[in-house]
Amino acid sequence: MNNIDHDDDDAVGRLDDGALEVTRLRMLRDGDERLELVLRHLVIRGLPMIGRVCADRAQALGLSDAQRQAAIEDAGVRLLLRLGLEERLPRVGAIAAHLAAECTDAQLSKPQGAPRLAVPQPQLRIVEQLGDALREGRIRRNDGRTS
Amino acid sequence: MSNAFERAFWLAVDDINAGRIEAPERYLQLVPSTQRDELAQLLATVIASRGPVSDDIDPADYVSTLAAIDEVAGAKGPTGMLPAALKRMRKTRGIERKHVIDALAAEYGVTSPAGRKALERFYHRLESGVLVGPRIAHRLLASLAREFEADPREFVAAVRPTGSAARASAVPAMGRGAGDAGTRTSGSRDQLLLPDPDEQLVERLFTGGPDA
Repeated sequence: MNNIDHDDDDAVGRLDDGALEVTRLRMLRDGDERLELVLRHLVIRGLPMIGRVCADRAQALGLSDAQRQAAIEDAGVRLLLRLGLEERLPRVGAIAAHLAAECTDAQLSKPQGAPRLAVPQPQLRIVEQLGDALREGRIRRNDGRTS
Repeated sequence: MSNAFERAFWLAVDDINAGRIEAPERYLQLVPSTQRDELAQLLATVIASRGPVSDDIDPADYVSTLAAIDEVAGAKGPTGMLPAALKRMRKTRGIERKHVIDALAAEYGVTSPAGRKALERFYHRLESGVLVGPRIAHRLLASLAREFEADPREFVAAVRPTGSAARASAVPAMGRGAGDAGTRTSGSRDQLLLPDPDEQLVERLFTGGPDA
């Protein structure tokens, strides 16, 4: 960001989506270092749509809060990658919505780790010791007459 | 995407945001017949699961996302944004590095221990951002993109060098071409042994150029 200052940030922030898209394409073609700034602004403009779609879809699919947050982050990164394409793209909100739906659905196939609050395996030491004692003949089964 | 398409899509979104749910045909009629399937699909995936929308999105949801955007967009190096993006996507999707390497090994038939080690080594270098992006084979980037359910073109674009590496990339790269990869043997290997074909293939995929 060496060549980017607050004036650039302000100027980019004032551009509407259409102007920002034109700027994005020109900077991609020219290898302009300020592209990073434009991409950030575009992704941030797409975030509310990502948040809404992920929240609604996560609720419909019964996903956890952590999965919803992961889907939002995933969609944000995917949007950033999409904006790196050197071609005219649809409005950022439309792309964001589409990617958010894809990324939320992808959480369904996410491998689940072992549950952190899993019930521990019971340690039945007394039962095991009784079994050992029975096998070794140190105690005998109760046959009903000796009790 | 045409202007009519965009207008119809946003009209639908605005209507639903305002709590007015109309029949999809109302929006589909606004676009040319050739675009109706696409619009219907988009509306279905985006809107079908939504009721009237509330704006009370939890700001906490954005915290990690903004950090991810900063990290990926701000990545500087010869492999561009892809290394940071790969790491983030693996994390959010719960994909282990081993899983990616297994998938690549299966796709390219890398079965030898030396080939497998090379795959692990080069994938690690890719995620570390030390490979030269434009030297990575496009077929490998396409394989990776499929693994992450992404558009392969995005991965090709994402390996454009950034920062000072971008300026340096204007100078011809000094890396080896695909053609001489086969003459190399690893440092500890007996020079009389033939190089492992799987290892050669892996090296070509990661450093042999876009068409390797």
